Amino acid sequence: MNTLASATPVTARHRRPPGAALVAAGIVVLLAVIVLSFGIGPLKVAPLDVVRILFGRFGLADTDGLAAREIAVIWNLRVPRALLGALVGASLALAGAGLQGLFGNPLADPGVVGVSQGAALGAVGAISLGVTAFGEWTIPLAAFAGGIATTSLIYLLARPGQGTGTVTLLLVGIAIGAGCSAIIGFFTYRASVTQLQSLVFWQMGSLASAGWPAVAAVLPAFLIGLVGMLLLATPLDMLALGERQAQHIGLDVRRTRALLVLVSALLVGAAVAFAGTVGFVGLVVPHLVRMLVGPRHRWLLPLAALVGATLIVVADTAARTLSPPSEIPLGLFSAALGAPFFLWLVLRQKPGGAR
Amino acid sequence: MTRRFHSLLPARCTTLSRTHASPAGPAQCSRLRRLAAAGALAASALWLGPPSLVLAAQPLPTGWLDLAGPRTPQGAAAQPRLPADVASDDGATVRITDASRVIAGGDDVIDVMEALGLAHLVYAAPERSATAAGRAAKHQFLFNRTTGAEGILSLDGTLFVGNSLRRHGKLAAMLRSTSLPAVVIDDVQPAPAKIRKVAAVFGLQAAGEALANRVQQQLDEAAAIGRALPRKPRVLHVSASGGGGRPTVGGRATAAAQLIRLAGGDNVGDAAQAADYTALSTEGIVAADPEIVVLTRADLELFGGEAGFRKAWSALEQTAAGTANRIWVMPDDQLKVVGSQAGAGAIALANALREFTRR
Repeated sequence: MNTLASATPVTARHRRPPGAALVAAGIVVLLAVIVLSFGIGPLKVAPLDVVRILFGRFGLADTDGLAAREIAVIWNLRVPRALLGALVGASLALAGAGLQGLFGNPLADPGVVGVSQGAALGAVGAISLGVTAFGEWTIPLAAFAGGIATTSLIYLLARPGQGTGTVTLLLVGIAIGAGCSAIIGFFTYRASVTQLQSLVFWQMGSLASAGWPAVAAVLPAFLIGLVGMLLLATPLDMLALGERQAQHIGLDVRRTRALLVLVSALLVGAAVAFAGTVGFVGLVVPHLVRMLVGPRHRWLLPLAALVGATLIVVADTAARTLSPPSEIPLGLFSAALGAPFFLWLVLRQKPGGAR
Repeated sequence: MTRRFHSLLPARCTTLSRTHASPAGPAQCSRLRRLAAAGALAASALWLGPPSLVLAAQPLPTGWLDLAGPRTPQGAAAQPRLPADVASDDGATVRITDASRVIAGGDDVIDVMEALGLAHLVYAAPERSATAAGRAAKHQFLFNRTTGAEGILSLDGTLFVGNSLRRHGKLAAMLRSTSLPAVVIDDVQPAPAKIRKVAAVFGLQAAGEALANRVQQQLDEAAAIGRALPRKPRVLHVSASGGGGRPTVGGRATAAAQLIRLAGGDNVGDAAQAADYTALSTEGIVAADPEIVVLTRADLELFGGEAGFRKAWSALEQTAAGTANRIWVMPDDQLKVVGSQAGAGAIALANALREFTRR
């Protein structure tokens, strides 16, 4: 099961830059990408005006002479959208890194514990059944509730605390995920034309409805998830030795496992609720980062969050800019941007592991 | 040869069967039919116009019925009376001061604008619009759930008028937050109410009231004809725009279903327990045994003409409608759009159903 640790080439360790430097660089790149995204979009706003609007918000620049619409576009549309994109990307990548560490399986992603399929089932069910009890918050709430409920069900059925282990959790997760997919398929089959359009677009992911309320809703879940995941960095390193070995050196495996599943569900549930299904990030970003920084979760987790955030902000900027006034679904772009790069990284590795 | 049927014709000339004796003189009816057919072709060229709907001007397959009511004429060019304060269907009150460049969210909105003489204000419209003003708009774009607020803003319109709370509710709120006036007039409401609301957006309440009353009278007339039918013929409305490429039938809340019921028919799609367009199984269609199939010209084009239609709906061969080749084709805006032409379509359909039940 110790696939991740053994997959890391020993020779590469010496060539890796220090984790702290990579994280610092990641922060700089993410901030730069976010600020650049404020100035890119179908509606042209001069770069200098973007800077004036940003500084003017804090009383550091004069915004006289700027059109009210430009200011509103930056502050009401682009800034919350970029921030939400960063939160979503970071959440998915963090959860993916944590779950790959928990399962010791490079194919693990948020779907393994059912949170993605559960969230999709919640959203698809709400759309198909025409539930509108909470207005515009109905679908995000249904998605979040679906994700958490499905994860809880998987955990209860697998009873990993009663000696059945992580493998059972993985298998039950796959089975429940397949069940969720079948129900989603049934809802899709029964959907009307209008509903079908909603279902398809939700499942392809989008940040089109991003606004400050969405940022405010996702931020607490992200912060809790981030802190929780960082606190679990050392236990994740211990789990990389194998569950039995980890237990022998003093790790409470059951508790760690429960916490990891809970934190991952919280992160992914909140992200998927507002962005729909965005594939690729949770699965591939941790691998990508592992190639850069190695398997130690102390640096892997924060750097995965930064790379995931950067990827989604870039992908979303492209998604909303390239085909105005329509937007290309975010899920298509995140995979289209990340997959070739990931493939290149994998293929440039030599059989022995050295690059 | 294709039979053409129009409400312009006297009822006595609207014989659906060649073998049915017409109470009017054959020569007189033949002349009237030719006139009506010529008028319909001219109207098709004028309204359905250019290349994307070439098939619309083509003759229908043998035995099919071209069913169209007399069109509500397009109003003379009018100018909006602004400012106007409007209650949007999403709950917001919107002040409109400039309607010189209208971004329209759907054909029903554009249809009412045309009827009010405001076609020249349509600045951006969805792709594949069935309306002349929509096709003539400066911008045509893929308008669906992927349409972003900033993309709409980049069109540089002065007013956004959406037609669906589900699709445009959130979008309209985002547009208003950037100071672009945005109104949503939900498509799921009776045509007269919608007409009044669209007219109010442009400060033309009096013209809207007159148009709404006219459409209401037409709907009432169609309902009266429908109520007098000796029985309710089973009518299946089919559409080419379906889920996963599958053709669909009109569910109970679609404009077409409401029109069929109003005209005295029994909408077969109601049995599907779906509000919107939905797929129906082959056996379900055979079991429902529709007596009449109704579709629009635009859908016929999407099917790929008669061959495509018959391939998509091979099960119809096992039904009364298929056996009798009883396929009625209507203009899009008289069957699927709740707008200014809905009343005309309702009367045409009611008259046709009356003729059918008399046989």
